[in-house]
Amino acid sequence: MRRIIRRPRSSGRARLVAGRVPPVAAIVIALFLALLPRTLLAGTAAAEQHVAEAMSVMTEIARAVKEGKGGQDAAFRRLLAKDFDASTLAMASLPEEVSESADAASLAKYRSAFVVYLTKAFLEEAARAPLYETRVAGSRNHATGRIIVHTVGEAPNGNRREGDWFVTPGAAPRIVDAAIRGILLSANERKRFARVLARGGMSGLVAALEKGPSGFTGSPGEDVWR
Amino acid sequence: MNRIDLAISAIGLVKHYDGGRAKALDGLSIDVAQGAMIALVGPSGSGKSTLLYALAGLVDLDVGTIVIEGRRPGGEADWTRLRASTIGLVFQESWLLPTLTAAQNIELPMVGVEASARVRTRRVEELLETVGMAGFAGRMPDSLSGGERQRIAMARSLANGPRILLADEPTGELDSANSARIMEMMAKLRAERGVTMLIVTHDPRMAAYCDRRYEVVDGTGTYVD
Ligand SMILES: Nc1ncnc2c1ncn2[C@@H]1O[C@H](COP(=O)(O)OP(=O)(O)O)[C@@H](O)[C@H]1O
Ligand SMILES: [Mg+2]
Repeated sequence: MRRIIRRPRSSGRARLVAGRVPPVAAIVIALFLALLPRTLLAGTAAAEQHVAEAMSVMTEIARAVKEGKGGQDAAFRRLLAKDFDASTLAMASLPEEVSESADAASLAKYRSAFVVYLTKAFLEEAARAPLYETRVAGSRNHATGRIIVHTVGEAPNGNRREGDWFVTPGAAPRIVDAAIRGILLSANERKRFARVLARGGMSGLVAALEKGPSGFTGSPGEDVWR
Repeated sequence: MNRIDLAISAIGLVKHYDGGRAKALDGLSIDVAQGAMIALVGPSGSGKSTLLYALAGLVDLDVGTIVIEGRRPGGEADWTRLRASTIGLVFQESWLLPTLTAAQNIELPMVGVEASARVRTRRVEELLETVGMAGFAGRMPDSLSGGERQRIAMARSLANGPRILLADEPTGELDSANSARIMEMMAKLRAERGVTMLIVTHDPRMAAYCDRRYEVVDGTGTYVD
């Protein structure tokens, strides 16, 4: 069983309602929400819970990295396999013309190299970044049908790291993308990958991915996990 | 493939003035995620305001592509629609119409967008509360302080529920107490409603509220942290 560091707070929508309307109206709305079919609310609640658990695992991994404990890549890969839809994230991280035209075999190679890369990127940046304690601060629905779970991370040095996690709805939620400190993971990687694709094609990209972030050049603003 | 769209993606924006002597934008590219709060920083004259107005479709670019929420606005009509619904603008000076009350100023952008006067009135009340100005509905702009006027202007730019807010030095004219109120309000809007914010600012405290800084220098730029 996983430990959850802090329980998620109520959703942003509920807090917005509570903050703006008179008490009697708030009670009426609360009653109304309580009477809504559970299935309508379950999506957001499940997504918030899912992200809260993933955050707590990521914090544990980052802590272990900072304490110099090895073997954290296996833990991060487990997290990717269980809590993320890494395949969707990988495909969204390719320029559209590439993801649509590449053959199945090279895409399969790319997807496994992507996992290697993402793992290295997270672990390397976690080693440099302060240790954030992250809590779920609310959620909202997104136009694509995903649920956006908003998180706030706080580090001992006062740094804040806000995140928006795009989660599939339903009973088995998966994270398909994330905007961390305002940078959308897929779009950020697409930009990095496009530069390498332009020079070395798919085989060049796979080789670069296997080296981790050092296989790419770019500005510090492209290191999303800090 | 159902990708998550960026709020804003601008590629290779170029805008030269005076036959190329002033390179307001010189190949600038920027991606902004939905729900991000980004500080645009950089020296005076570097192109920050031009960038902001270009992203609202108010600059006739020499070259460049702007994509808003995954779609490339096709022309003036598209931009007008976006500014009426999706994109809100906040300026350093509040530009309230002096002959209208605070409430009427806030209601203005809704006229022609929201048909029901009752809905408009209710939304004005909500907005006044959001910016901490409930009870100021009937006040004329020249009876308000600078900070109060800026909060009314902010309410006006939120009138049609924009998902993207572009603000050009919104606290530039304000004392630190009023600046802090505006910043807190903006941070709250982003956290609770996921409004994407691009804020030109020279104030390090404002930048500290933001996720990241994007530095504009000589018409081009990058995220610096
Ligand atoms: N309408 C205009 N006509 C001529 N030059 C302009 C115009 N707008 C901006 N510029 C020039 O473009 C450059 C960038 O201006 P601006 O975007 O206002 O910078 P910032 O907001 O960073 O101070 C400056 O050199 C400015 O003089
Ligand atoms: Mg300016």
